[in-house]
Amino acid sequence: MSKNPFDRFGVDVTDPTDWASTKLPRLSELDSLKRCYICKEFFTAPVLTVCHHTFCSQCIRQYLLTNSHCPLCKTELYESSLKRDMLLDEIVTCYKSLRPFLLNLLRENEILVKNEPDIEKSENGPSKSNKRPAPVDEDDVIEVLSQGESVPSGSSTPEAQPKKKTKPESQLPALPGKSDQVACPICNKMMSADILQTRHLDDCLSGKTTPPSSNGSHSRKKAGASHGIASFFKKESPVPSSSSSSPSTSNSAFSKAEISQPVGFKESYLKQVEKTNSESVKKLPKLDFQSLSTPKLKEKLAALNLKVQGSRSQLEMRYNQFYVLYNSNLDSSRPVSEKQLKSTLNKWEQSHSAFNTESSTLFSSRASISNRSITSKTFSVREWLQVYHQEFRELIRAARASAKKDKKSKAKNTIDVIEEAEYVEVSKKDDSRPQQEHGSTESKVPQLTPELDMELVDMDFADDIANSSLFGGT
Amino acid sequence: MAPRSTAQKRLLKEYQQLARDAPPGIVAGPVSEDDLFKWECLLEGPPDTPYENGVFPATLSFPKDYPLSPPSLKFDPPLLHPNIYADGTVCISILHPSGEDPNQYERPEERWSPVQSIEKILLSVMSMLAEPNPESGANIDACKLWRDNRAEYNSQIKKHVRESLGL
Repeated sequence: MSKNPFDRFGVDVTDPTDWASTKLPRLSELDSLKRCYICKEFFTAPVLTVCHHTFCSQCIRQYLLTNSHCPLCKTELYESSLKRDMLLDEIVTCYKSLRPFLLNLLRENEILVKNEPDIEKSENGPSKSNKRPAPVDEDDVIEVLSQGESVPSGSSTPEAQPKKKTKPESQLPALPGKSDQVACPICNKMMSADILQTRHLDDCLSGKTTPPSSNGSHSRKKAGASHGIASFFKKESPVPSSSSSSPSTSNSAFSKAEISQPVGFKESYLKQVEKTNSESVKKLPKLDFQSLSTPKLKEKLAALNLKVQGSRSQLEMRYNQFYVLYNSNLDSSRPVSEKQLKSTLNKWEQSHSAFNTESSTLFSSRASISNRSITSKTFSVREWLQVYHQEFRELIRAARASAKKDKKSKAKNTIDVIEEAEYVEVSKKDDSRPQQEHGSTESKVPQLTPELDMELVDMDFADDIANSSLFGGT
Repeated sequence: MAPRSTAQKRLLKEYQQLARDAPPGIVAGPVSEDDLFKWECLLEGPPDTPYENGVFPATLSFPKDYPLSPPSLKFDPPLLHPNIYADGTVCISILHPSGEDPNQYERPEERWSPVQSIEKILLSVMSMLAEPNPESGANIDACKLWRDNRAEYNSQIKKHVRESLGL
């Protein structure tokens, strides 16, 4: 159950079921309510539809590029009718920042009650080296170093207020023999309070990689045993703080964590509403590609400082993707810079098949059709005939001419027989495709070999092939 | 390798959810964690049907723009069923791209939408095994057999189940 194969992906995979093993399993409901139905992540810049459903702005805008109804209830839906839900945005952001603490507290309690080793924890031990420094990381069980915690926190934790969290922490002095280390409130690494306060906390909060340090022990019992780590820290910190100084430092560390939140979530929300009401943000317009010539489209892209190379469909997709990114960014309370949007766009292009060479279906240019195998599913006989129409004609002409020459030297009847026999032989030799039944002559055509029998050299054959199901049709 | 696209993130999430709490009779996960777009699943035949006691392997292939477009599901080896093509590809409404049905047959709410999930697909397939829908048949021979000669249909499936279990 707790084997966590997601570590190696280097991302957070949080899930409502994280709560299932805590003291308050019903929190998973709260957790799933704050997730987008499309991406299953916590809402990013949530928007409300006319049918009162909520999605991430980017998810629903992307969906509405090709659809025109709500993915949940199928009500007709247009992008212009989406409304930002700023309060929810703040609630989710706030919840996300509290989630690891809450999870930790509720799990910690359970472990103390059960007093048995957690599998997830013992797992995390050996994987220290590749553990990520990401601040919110629910999969690594976060543990606060406190023994007395189990007693009072039961009543205080469900309220999930930042202030409350200092409470269990302040009981640290009750802990014997672990005076010199505190757990980082964000990533739960064990370190001396000095390092935590001076360097680590800021880094951790800003999401930077933390300075090299041990990833700490995970269960209280283990922490008690791991004096090796403790001594490692003693080297770094000039004077290991005594047990009496520990609570104050850890307390200040926490208050620092609170302060370093530039504005409280409530203030941020009110500000955001005010700001949005006062200024009118300009969204990118949706383009009607059908009435837009390619040079005009390139002009539009250039005006946005976007790349203008690529085929027509690539240009359209690029605009649409940027349009989605840009407009959904406007729905966010914490928008990113345009530069960042563009790098997101570039990454998207790199990962999108339509911008890679294999995706020939999107373009009907000649280069792409010749790359396609005749046996591939997407092969279209009609297209092929169109592209190579001229070549076919010329080959036929050449074949006719050479046949005439031959006729002069030989009697007509013999030629036909010989040529036909030769031809069948040759085509059997180098025709590797499976469709052979009656088609040795017909299947030969797309390969443009000159040994065309005169009987077949008639422009009508093109239509025959197109109509026949020999190639599986279009 | 960190997943970049929405598709990869969402697939990871669904994988985790299924790994933790899968519905009975269903096992599913990526073939390799390097390619999250190919999944392997094992479906148990629903009880009180000829498929009972069988374990049927199938592969799920996801498009790059998942979850906007639906994945496709293919039984390997193919399974005799009115709604499964002879090559094993499953034909049910939840796997059809969202929007209006060009044939005006399926209601839009039956078709794929990004709010569906792999779990829901697999559950739908399980109930499809239990209750074939002969009105939109994919395998005409199986349809005919199911309609005209149920006993033979049942025995053929039971035979397949026994063979697949190596009995």
